[in-house]
Amino acid sequence: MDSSQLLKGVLDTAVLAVLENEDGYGYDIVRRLREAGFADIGDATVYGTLRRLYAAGLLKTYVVPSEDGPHRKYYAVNTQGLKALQQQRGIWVEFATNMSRILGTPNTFSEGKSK
Amino acid sequence: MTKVQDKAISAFVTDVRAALEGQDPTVIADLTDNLEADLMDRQASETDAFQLGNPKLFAQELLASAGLLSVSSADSRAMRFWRGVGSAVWRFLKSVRPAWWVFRGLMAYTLIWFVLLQQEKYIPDNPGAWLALAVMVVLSVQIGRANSRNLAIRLPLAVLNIVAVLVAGYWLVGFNQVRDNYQRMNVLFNSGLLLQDGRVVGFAYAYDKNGKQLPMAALKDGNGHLIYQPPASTDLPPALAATVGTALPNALASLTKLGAIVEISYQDLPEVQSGHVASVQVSYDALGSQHVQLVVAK
Repeated sequence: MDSSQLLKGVLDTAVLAVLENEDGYGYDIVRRLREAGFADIGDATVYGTLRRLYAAGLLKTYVVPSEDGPHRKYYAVNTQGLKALQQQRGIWVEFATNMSRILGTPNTFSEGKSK
Repeated sequence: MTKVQDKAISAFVTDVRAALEGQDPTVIADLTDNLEADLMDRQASETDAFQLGNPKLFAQELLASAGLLSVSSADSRAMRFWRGVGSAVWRFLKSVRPAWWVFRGLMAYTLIWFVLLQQEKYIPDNPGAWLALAVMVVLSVQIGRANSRNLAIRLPLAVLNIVAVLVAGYWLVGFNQVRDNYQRMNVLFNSGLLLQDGRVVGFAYAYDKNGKQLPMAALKDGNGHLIYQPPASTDLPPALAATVGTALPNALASLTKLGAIVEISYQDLPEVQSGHVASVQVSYDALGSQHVQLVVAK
């Protein structure tokens, strides 16, 4: 099992989480995900995911003119997207806690939360 | 250098759009409108490590992550349909697996009975046989429930399943024969006919110790139940009586017209011309058919 398989299942959540902090355009989101540790993620995978989340009504877009290049299409999480993210966050915490218990590893996520 | 790369990026985006051909134009626009700018950003970020890759694979990755790969063409729709049919059939077969496990147990019982005891037992007919069947069924169901993914177990199990299918063919043929025989015997037993060793008895005669036929009114069993009653004797019809004294071919021609069943016996009868009918007897079997016995002089 490699992490890319696991990432496929949580990519929607990861993209929503990245955009929750700050709006972003295509490659900007790819870069932020890679900086967050998903170094091998393909840019086409992220662009397709953005399109799917937008079609599902979880994201909104707006265009920002650029002086030194083409205009940028920015993505932002809308209200529905925030609700979905909140729900997915709860599912993830439960899943991660269960996995940590099974694997016998420290549940750093829960510990961090309790602080 | 940058301009060369820009051209390469433009060509790459054009190729990606071409690979997306067949999709809704809005979808293509959504997926590629900012692609050139994004790739230029990536180029600036990665510098020497920057590579564009295969545009077709890039397009496939876009579609897959956008959830659009499975509806890209008519062919894939057809494939999706057949995949759906296959999946439905597979789900159905999986749902009836317990029935197969029970049937496989019955086949194992049949095979073991045949191999070990050289007996054809399709259905148990005593407590021991029922117990053996129950053991085989429980064993088969437990093996099925274990659902092992170990290849070392699955391969022999697949062979056993094939053997069970072959035995099932043998079992069905044998079972049908047993059922047919039963139905045939059932028809005979319910027909009211007199049977001897499974054969229908058409006539019954009584003889004395000297071998002389006795007149018989009825044949009854030890409880007084009627087993057989010969039809009431009748006088010879004129057409039959007329055959006495005629040549056999002429007699047979007359009897054929009457539709009678003819039985011929030849006897040494000096007083009768050779090949001529000496006497005629008529009787009726349990089915009501008329039998004519001709005694012909040798």
